[in-house]
Amino acid sequence: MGLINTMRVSASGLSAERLRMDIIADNLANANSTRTPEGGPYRRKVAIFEPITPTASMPGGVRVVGIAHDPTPPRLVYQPGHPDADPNGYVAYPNVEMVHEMVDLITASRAYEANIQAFNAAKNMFLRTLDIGRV
Amino acid sequence: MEPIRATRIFWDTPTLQTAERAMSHASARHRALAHNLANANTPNYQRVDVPLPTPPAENRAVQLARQHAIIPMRASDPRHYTAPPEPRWRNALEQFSNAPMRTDGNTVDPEREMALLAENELRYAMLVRIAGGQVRTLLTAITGGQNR
Amino acid sequence: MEIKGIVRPLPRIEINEIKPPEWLAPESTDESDTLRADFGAMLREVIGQVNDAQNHASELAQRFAQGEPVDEHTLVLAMERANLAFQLTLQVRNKVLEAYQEIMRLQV
Repeated sequence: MGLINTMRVSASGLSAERLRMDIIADNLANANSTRTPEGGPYRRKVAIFEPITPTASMPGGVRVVGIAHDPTPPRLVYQPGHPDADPNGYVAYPNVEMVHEMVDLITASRAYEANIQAFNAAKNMFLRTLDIGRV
Repeated sequence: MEPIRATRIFWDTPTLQTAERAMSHASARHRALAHNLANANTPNYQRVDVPLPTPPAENRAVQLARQHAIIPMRASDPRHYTAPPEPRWRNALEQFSNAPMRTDGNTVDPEREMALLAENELRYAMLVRIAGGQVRTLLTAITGGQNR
Repeated sequence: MEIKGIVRPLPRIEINEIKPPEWLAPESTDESDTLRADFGAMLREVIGQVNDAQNHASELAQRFAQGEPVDEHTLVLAMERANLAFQLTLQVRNKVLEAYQEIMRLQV
């Protein structure tokens, strides 16, 4: 245990939140992509987080176990002139909601800053410890 | 880590031993709070903490307050209300503070964790000061002031 | 001319028969012996403790250097305690040396 290993816990949080922000950016950029190489509209991506079981060298933290697709069905918009319209004239748009993504982005960003604060606190505690007894 | 044989060791004072134990606690608490913040967005994650042990003096004061201030009411009928309201209210407050903050079951409040983190860091700095002061005093005592 | 009969061998007085009176005798020699043994034992014990402090600190430092999870404050405090123990030994040694030199300077 120790403060050095605790900094790794905060580092794992930083990595996870960073990945989440990347995924949100991807979702926002593809909010209107009606076609993808594998067929169909773009599907919203979600990062799956899981806590790391504490061990001696890694006393906790968070891990991204995978990136999943949101199973919500796509939005259907009636646009018969669109190249990607189906026989009924409906175009399938991605199941990405702007407001939802912005809220997620703010949450991820706040958590990222909080993890930075925890990291700095551990670093400062460590540096202070080195000065015990030094005149 | 235990100190080496605490009997009659001049350079291992009770202050140093207490400071070391308190620093271990502060380090463990920081670990818990950092784990909470890393999992601030993990669904269904329950926050963990290593809170300060209640000082014995406070317990005694609370005991005395309970004994003298809260007088149960005498009831002539078993359906009459007799229990004083205060302890029940206090328990209700504790339960509320542990309730989930979000719809995904996560109980981490980042602001609260950061406030506890700052408090813990200051406490650790104070303990470092205590331990360092004790070490410097002992060194001055041993060397007769020649430790500059 | 010899004068006979007057000179007689004086009775021999053994020097070691002269003893101080009871009440002036010092405390039994056993106590001073135990005092000496106690001081030696105490010195050995303290040197052992100093040695333990140094070993404990160096062991923790080695484990930290090898990457094992060691609490930093425990390591720093162990090193500070070892330093205090060493300083104490050094100062005691200096004082003993001073005392010895002072005694050697005494005019006999």
